[in-house]
Amino acid sequence: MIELKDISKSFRLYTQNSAKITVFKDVNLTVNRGELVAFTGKSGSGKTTLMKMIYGNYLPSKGSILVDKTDITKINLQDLIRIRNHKMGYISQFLRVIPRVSTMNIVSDSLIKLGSEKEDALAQASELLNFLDIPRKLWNLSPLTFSGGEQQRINIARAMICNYPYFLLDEPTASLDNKNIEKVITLIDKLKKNGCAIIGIFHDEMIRNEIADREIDVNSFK
Amino acid sequence: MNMNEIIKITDLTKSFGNIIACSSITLEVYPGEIVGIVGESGSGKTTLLKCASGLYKPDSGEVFFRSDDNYVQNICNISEPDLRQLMRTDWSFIHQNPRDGLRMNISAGGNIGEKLMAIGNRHYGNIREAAAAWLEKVEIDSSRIDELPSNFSGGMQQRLQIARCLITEPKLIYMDEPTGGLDVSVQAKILDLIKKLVEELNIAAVIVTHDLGVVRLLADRVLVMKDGHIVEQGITDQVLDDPHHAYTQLLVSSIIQV
Ligand SMILES: Nc1ncnc2c1ncn2[C@@H]1O[C@H](COP(=O)(O)OP(=O)(O)O)[C@@H](O)[C@H]1O
Ligand SMILES: Nc1ncnc2c1ncn2[C@@H]1O[C@H](COP(=O)(O)OP(=O)(O)O)[C@@H](O)[C@H]1O
Ligand SMILES: [Mg+2]
Ligand SMILES: [Mg+2]
Repeated sequence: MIELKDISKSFRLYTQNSAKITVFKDVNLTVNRGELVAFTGKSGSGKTTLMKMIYGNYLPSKGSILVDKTDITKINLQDLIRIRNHKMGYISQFLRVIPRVSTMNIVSDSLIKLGSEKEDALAQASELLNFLDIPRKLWNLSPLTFSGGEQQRINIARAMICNYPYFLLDEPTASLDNKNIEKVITLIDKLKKNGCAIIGIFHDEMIRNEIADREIDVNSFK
Repeated sequence: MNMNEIIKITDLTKSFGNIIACSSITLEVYPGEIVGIVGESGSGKTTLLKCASGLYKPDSGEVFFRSDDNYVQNICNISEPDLRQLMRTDWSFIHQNPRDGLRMNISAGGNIGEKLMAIGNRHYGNIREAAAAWLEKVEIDSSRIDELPSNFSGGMQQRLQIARCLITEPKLIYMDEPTGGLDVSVQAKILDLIKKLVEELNIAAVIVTHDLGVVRLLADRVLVMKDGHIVEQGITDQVLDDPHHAYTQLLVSSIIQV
């Protein structure tokens, strides 16, 4: 379970006359295992900010964020890194990888890092890349020259290959065609059936209607 | 003394005359992690690495190092031979200027091989073979194994130094701007090499760099230094995406994009 208690967030911009931007005040929110909660609201309303706080990427100005009862805003960095590595998958729109590392290695490394045997990790990576329609001839190439849609699918594969109990999805399907969106939806459904709690940002209302259990307009937190 | 960290620095201060290069620095590094240090020139990054690795004696403070057998020593007050031994076996230091880390009067193969000999390898054929393999890993053609480093370009010398420092699989790697003089494609290869080594061997690395792109891809955690102080630290994406200190914000906003 993920619980946000009295979360506020503002940014102080020292390079711009110390302007203060307040994005949220007193957010309270609970997300349970097995459900998908979609954040909505127009661009700039704070969807990404809220999600990044749950990942421990942005630090809230006030309040607490409990992941399985552990307040991630109060723990040391090592413990937060451990929680991320074992519990939380974060998928953004953008793929960030070391240049020249092959797609296959990028996807399988996620599992190897968690202690899987190399062969097992490669087999699972192949299965997932196949499922996501990444042509086999691309597997040994770096994804940095791939199309936007291919890069997004690599991004999804490298995270979803791990069975995290929590997933945070920030527009992971923005440049996918319908056929691939359906595939991603299939993966998300499977995660939910396994009891995963998911928070997602999807521009496409059709996608939300298909997979979201609840929608939360982040403007209600202002 | 029990500790999980591989190295633990407490309240370390180092001055040169009336310049305080490092002021009350506290830092822990755990096995399996890569820690990045960023900050403007003159902020004390190199001094910190040199104190942490026994190359400088700090004016005050402690540097505890844990060896494989969980034996913890304060390297600021151990004997010179004990320190030399640790430097040979337990950590290595990749200098910003490759000439500081290479022996310019012996061959490329000798530069790499002598590190293996220093930790007890004696079989000439094996050492040469390992040296050749490491040259290839850092993308230097192994046919150049008998050449002197002075025949190499600056970038190749740096890669040679990296091979020399990594071949013994030290438990801790200190790197001072290691990829500065490398072209981007080779740099990527070296970053991947370091990352793999850290993951596979569960060792640790501390890297000083001005390149926030390198930090983003390589470091698990980052420290930001200014005027001898650590002004901000956190998980890499915390520091780069939501910097709280004015100086870090300036640093992050000054680059095009990472
Ligand atoms: N790292 C940051 N530093 C400063 N301001 C930020 C940062 N991230 C987001 N903001 C500000 O917070 C507000 C919400 O942004 P964001 O969460 O990206 O919105 P959304 O995802 O809904 O489009 C915007 O005004 C944005 O400028
Ligand atoms: N060996 C030295 N002798 C005298 N001053 C030094 C020496 N090494 C560093 N300094 C001074 O200490 C400060 C920190 O330097 P340094 O650690 O090299 O910074 P950085 O690596 O961040 O550029 C600078 O003001 C520098 O001039
Ligand atoms: Mg957004
Ligand atoms: Mg320096």
